[in-house]
Amino acid sequence: MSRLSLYVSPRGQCVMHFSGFSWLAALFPLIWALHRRLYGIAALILIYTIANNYFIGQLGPSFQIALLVIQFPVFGLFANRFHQVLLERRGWLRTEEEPLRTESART
Amino acid sequence: MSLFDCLEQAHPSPQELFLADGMFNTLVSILVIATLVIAIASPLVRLAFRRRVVRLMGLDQVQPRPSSWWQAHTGATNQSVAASGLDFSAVSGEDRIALARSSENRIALASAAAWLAFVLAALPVAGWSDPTDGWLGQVEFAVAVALLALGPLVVNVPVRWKRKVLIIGLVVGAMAVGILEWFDFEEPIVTAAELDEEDSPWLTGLFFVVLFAIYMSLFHRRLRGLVVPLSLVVAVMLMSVIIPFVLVEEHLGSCLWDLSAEQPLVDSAQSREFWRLVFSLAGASLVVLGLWLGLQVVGILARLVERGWLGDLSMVSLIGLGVISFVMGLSQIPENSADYSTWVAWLPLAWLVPPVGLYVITLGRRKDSGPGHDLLMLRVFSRRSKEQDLLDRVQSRWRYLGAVQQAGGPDLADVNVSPYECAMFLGSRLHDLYLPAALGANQLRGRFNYLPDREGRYRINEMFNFNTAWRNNVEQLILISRTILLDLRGLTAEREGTCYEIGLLAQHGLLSRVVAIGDDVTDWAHVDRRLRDASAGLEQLTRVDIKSKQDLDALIAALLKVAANPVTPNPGVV
Repeated sequence: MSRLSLYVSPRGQCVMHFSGFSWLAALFPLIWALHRRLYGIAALILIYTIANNYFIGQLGPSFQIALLVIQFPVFGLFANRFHQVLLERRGWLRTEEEPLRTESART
Repeated sequence: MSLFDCLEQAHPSPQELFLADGMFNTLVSILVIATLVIAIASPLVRLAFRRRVVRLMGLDQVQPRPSSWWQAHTGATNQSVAASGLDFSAVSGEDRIALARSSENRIALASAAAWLAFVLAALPVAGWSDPTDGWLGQVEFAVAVALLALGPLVVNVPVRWKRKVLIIGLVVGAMAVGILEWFDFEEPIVTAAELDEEDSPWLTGLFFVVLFAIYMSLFHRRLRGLVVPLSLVVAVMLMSVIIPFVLVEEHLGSCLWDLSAEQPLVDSAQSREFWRLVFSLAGASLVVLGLWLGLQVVGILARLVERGWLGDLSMVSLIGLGVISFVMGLSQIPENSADYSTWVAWLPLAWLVPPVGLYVITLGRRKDSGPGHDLLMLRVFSRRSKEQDLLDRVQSRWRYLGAVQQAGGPDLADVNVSPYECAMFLGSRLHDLYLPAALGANQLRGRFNYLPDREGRYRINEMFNFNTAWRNNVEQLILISRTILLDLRGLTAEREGTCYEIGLLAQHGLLSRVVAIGDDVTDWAHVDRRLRDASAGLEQLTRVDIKSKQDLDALIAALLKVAANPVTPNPGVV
């Protein structure tokens, strides 16, 4: 199960970060980036999608399928890790995190 | 020839248009499908919401939040000044009960008047498509509308009226249907052609099941808080995508059509790919823009509810009436009418004017009742619906007397979802509602809304905490509360959270403010031990055993008795 943490920016914004495999990033990377408010990354993913459709698409469907098969685990596995690196490089602080042992907080 | 050249071609015939032919039919179909998808998915959305609430509750603070975060959330500080200036004892206990009764009666009367106005306004709408229907057809339509509008009516009336209204409404509706059937005893002559055109009973049955699912999800106590705002977001998003395409298509129709034609006017395949890409990008941008606009609409609604201009319950009723007027209106507008689209858009709005107007007039101006008797609900976070239902009934009744405070938890989180909370959840910002650290009493008060909305209902204020913050914040909450309901049903020694709260109440000498409820499972011996640890005893606790729904009256009476006690200043308040 993924582990949830909260990061706070020097300007006081707060975002959630999930560790582990991201199904959203694997299936819909653009939505994942928008959901995480990574607008620059979203623009890059959009350009990549356009290039994929427009140029690589001309190489044939089998090539596209092969690319999707590679893209799926790569995005799923590394998206959250990449998000964490970005947050930490930009000076965001990890202020809260889920304890390692899953237990009810208050009963 | 390039794509731009095709603009110089003659305008396409309606058959060639992608969307403009029957634009509103397309819109309506998509809206109905979207609502259905939301209705079916609503239990999953509810589950996701509860899971998110629970996961956030379990977070531990690893380092303090920077001051910039606290500054960004200073709205609470400004409010706290206002909250600290409120006079909580301006109205005496008996007057408070009279005010609550008056509010309940006003809302019940105004709701009934609005319902009646909605039903009467259905009469001129009926028989529009088939004027030969006569008065019987009009009355049949009005009865159907009256039965459907019972849902919004029941949502808005106070708890003690709900069951009566539902039973009376259904009985009178059934009688009306019976009488109409008796009048309309002539069997219609069905031709063979008409018989062929009729749908199979399975399809008709499925259609009604679908409608019932949508209807139930809109008004269900545990679903409506999420379904109504989510439907709004999806509706606005779809409108934002479809309407621009429809408007553009009138001018670009032949070119759009050309992109999907087998023998295109546009010469090269590359050019076609390019323009397909442009339109796909435009579509994707409109989806994102539409989602943003949808969230803004929910945000506006949340602000209206927050400021008390619109009650949380009347909002659900109003949107419910809007959906009913839209669906029922569609069945009556003649399809061959030249102004079909205009009527589809404006009829629901025109239909809503009489009930909304009458509701506002009948409500009138409420007396300034001040902040009321606030109630704090401390509880075991039970998973059983029986326990949750009782708490829901208590808070629904108490909100006419004063604000209800509670620690947000998985048991009542989906019952009390406000449009604001829903917008935060949909925008993935639910964590911003959680308190990361202990607050002082005034700061805590500032986060709550103690004043009633314009209809006279007080707010249900939830305080969400991370795992490392709840103990201190609950302590402050206990200290600033005047009346406390301690729900010990299902309490065992393992329930550490509630046991901690019992200890706090005894330690601060606040048992006189508490009414405790228990059941057969409650481990009273353990409660007694915890109280004795803090030099108190079980005999100091006002106890009400809940065995049936009738015991709710006894519980409210006990809480009112506690609320009437004079308030003593508490030295523990920070």
